[in-house]
Amino acid sequence: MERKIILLVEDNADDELLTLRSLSKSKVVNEVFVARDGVEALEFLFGTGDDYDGPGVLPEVILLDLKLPKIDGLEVLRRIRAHERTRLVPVVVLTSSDEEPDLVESYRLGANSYVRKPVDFISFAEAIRHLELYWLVLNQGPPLKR
Amino acid sequence: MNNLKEIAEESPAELKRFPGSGGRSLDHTVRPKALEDRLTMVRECFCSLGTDPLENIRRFTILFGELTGAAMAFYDRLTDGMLVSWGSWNAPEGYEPASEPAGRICFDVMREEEDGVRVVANLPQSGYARTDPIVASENVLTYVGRSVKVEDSRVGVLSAFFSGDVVPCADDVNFIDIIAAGISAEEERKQSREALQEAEANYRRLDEQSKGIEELYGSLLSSSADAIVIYDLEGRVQYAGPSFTAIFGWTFEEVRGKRIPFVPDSEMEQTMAVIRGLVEEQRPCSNFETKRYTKDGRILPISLSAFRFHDADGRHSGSLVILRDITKRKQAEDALKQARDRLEAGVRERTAELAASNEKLKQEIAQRKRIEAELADSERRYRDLYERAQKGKQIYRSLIDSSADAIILYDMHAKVVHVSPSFTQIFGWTLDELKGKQIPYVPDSEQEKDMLLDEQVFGTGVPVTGLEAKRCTRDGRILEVTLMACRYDDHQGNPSGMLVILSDITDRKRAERALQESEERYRKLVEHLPDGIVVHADGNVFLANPAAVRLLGGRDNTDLEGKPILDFVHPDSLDKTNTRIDRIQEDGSVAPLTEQKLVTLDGRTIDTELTTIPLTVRGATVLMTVGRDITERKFAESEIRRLNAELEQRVLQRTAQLQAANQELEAFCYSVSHDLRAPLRSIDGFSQVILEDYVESLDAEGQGYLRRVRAASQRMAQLIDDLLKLSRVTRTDMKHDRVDLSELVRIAADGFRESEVNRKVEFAITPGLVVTGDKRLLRVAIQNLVENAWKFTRKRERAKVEFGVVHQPKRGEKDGAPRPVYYVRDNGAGFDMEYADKLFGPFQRLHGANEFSGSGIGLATVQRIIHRHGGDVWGEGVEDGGAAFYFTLS
Repeated sequence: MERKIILLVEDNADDELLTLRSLSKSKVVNEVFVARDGVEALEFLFGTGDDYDGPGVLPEVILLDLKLPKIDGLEVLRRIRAHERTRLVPVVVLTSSDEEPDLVESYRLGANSYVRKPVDFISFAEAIRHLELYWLVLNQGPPLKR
Repeated sequence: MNNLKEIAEESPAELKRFPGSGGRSLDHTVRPKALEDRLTMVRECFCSLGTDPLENIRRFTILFGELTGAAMAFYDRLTDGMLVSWGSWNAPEGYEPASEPAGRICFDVMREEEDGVRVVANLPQSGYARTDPIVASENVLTYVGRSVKVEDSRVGVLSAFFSGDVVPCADDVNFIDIIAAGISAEEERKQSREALQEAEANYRRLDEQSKGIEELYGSLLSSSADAIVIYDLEGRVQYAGPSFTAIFGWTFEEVRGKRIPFVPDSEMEQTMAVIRGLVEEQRPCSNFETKRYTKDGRILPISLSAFRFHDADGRHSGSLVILRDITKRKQAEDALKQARDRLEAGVRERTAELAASNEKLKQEIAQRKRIEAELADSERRYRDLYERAQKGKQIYRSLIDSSADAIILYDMHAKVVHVSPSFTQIFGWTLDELKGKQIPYVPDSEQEKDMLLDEQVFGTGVPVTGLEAKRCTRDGRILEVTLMACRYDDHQGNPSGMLVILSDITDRKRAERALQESEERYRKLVEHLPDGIVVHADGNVFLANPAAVRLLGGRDNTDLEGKPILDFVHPDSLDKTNTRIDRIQEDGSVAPLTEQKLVTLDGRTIDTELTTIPLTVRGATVLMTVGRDITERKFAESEIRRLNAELEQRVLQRTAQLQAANQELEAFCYSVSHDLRAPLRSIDGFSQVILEDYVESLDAEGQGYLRRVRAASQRMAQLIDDLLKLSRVTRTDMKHDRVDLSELVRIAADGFRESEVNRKVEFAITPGLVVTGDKRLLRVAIQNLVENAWKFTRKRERAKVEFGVVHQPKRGEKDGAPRPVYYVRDNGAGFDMEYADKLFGPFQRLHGANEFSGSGIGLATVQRIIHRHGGDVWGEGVEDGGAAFYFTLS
């Protein structure tokens, strides 16, 4: 079976744990890579030097928090869309904010979806499961060079 | 050819006495007449004389025939160079007295050098038998005749033919002389009459031909046989005709401008009396007999007629004197006197009769003089007539018929004699209606003035001109007229009426008044206009209104007038001013309003706003500059600019502050949104994890506590969200659109109905309440209000929610303008008005959360939205009796 990766960009350890707990329960994903800030996310995708050839396989979907240390989520999104290799990768913004400017800017930069994290954990887990099911099972992703 | 003298000398012995003279007569058939009878005949004849000279001549001819006892007698008169018979006695059958030419014998008598009685005897043997029809056809033997003279020309011949041989005696000769003198007088009278007729004909002709009176005079003066002299008032000669030279020897050139030294001392006294009478009493002198010297010292008997003449204005300007040389007449008179003397010597006892005859003759001469006086009088009359005709023609032609002015002629009783066609046109009355009447056209207000006018013109003869008056027309309109009135006189200079000329100046007066009023308006405008007006030409001020005087710091207009306009222009504005003035003068355009600095007389610099307008005054272009002081305005403007700049600066500062605050708020909200929620999520999430993974380690109570933890964290998340919503209402930008509030209420109501289908809530929504505002925010406000009503009517069986509008003044302004107040009213739980001021505070709740759900942020949100729209919101309620929320929008 083909290896499917999710890139989770999340600086909050509690959220990371709760998200991973929700994902693991669905038994769909082979691998979840977690980047704890924007720099790590970009390094994962583009490496640190010119010789880096990437993770070898691009994630099926990137779950991207907006409020990140160092390089924030919107900047990460901009660079993903700016790069030839990653510009078609589906990105779901997963954040606490429901501020209008965040929504507008996310979609403008090419986010495929925007999900606000509910405080109610039952709702939260439900949301993550829906995302996993949708993006990894239902959605036909773009043909990507590996 | 034989002449009478020769014949007489050839046969002196054959001369015979007249049959009645006592001498021998061969004609015995005629009874000789006694001297007494013959004198009676003469007297009767003279007494029967009439005024017709020809008839008198015929009588004299008959007398001649009867006195001499001739077979026939004739008087032949020189007419157009031929001797034509004018009188006859006992003429042959078929003899035409007025046309029969006399025979040669008469011509011969005419040509005799000496006057006196001629006798030709033995006619059949003389040459006259062949030439003279009477001699040839009648049985006559002797001719007795003599010529008749007027002055020194022979005018005719008195002839008698006798059948016998006769010789006239001395008495016969006397009788013949008397008869000849009588005929002579008649001839002279005839000549005078003809001269008078001719003169009259001349005047008439000249008058008809409208020749100048000078021409008439000229022809009269130069053609007269009498010496005519015109003197000026000092008695100096102005004119002397050719006859003067012929009679007296001086040429006109010699006496021009001088007094003629020809009055003999003996005549001086009488002459001076005549002159005084003429000059002082205007008494013309007619046929005054006197004497005058000729140039070569002879003394001539003179008949003098003189009269004054007048210039065109009727002033005495000189005298005209006619001097007739009466030497010849005197001689004739003398001859007559001598003949009479001779006769008287012979007929002493009948002297009285002869004297009477003589007296008669003198009367005839006096009559002739009267005729001469008539001549002189007629000259004057015709001259007057001529002048009047000239004047009358002009008046009638140029004034009455063609005049646009109304002309009226009155008689001395102020009754109309004539009115011009233009009078009828202007006043309406025709001549027929007015003739002989007074014109009822003087308004009451002018009656007195009109009477004074009549008195002046009729009484003193002083004309009135240019008098302004009012007159009524026939149809009652009042016209304004100028009036000219003068008296006119008849040919004798007597006042005979009044001429009145009226010019209708109603329109002119009306126009004048309109012009005056208009001028007055403009003058007042100019005087009271707060803007300064200065009129200048060729660079100099010639008119300034009081505002201009004040503006330019003068005391009165003389301070400005005459000064160069550029004196008042500030040096900074000189170029601009000159350019403006040049341009106006080039194309005549009005200079646009500009701002310009001026210098006042007291040296202040003022800011003004000017416009310059070219005007045409009496054909010349002048410039009118209108200006006002805008120094204060300029100051105010600069103040406003300064304040504006300050304000702008302040606004910028405030804006910057506000922006900074906004940014802070944004950052705060952002971090609230992110950072406060994350821990809540952890609390809730891990509580759930414990409940899921460690449920067997916890008893029911522990699990309950964890659920409380979760509920609290979720509640807090809700509070955070509400708080963010509220702050977002404040932070978002406003857009102004037309918003249908009724529609928003309906949509909200529909939404709540759908969410809770079981509830029965009646909505009464006034449709079409449209306002201007931010649609998104108003939707939130309406949503909250409807939600509020929905929520608090939960316990009502028959819940009712109303949306509508009332119009009432602003609270606290009873008399203010009504404004729309929108309301949402329900019949729900209501509230205690004591807490009404707490309704709109965030998180304020008047009911327990377990009773009615909600975070208490709804009305706070509504209030913020309404305030952002510049409106007010307030609530009215009764606990358990429903609530109403009112709001206004600006």
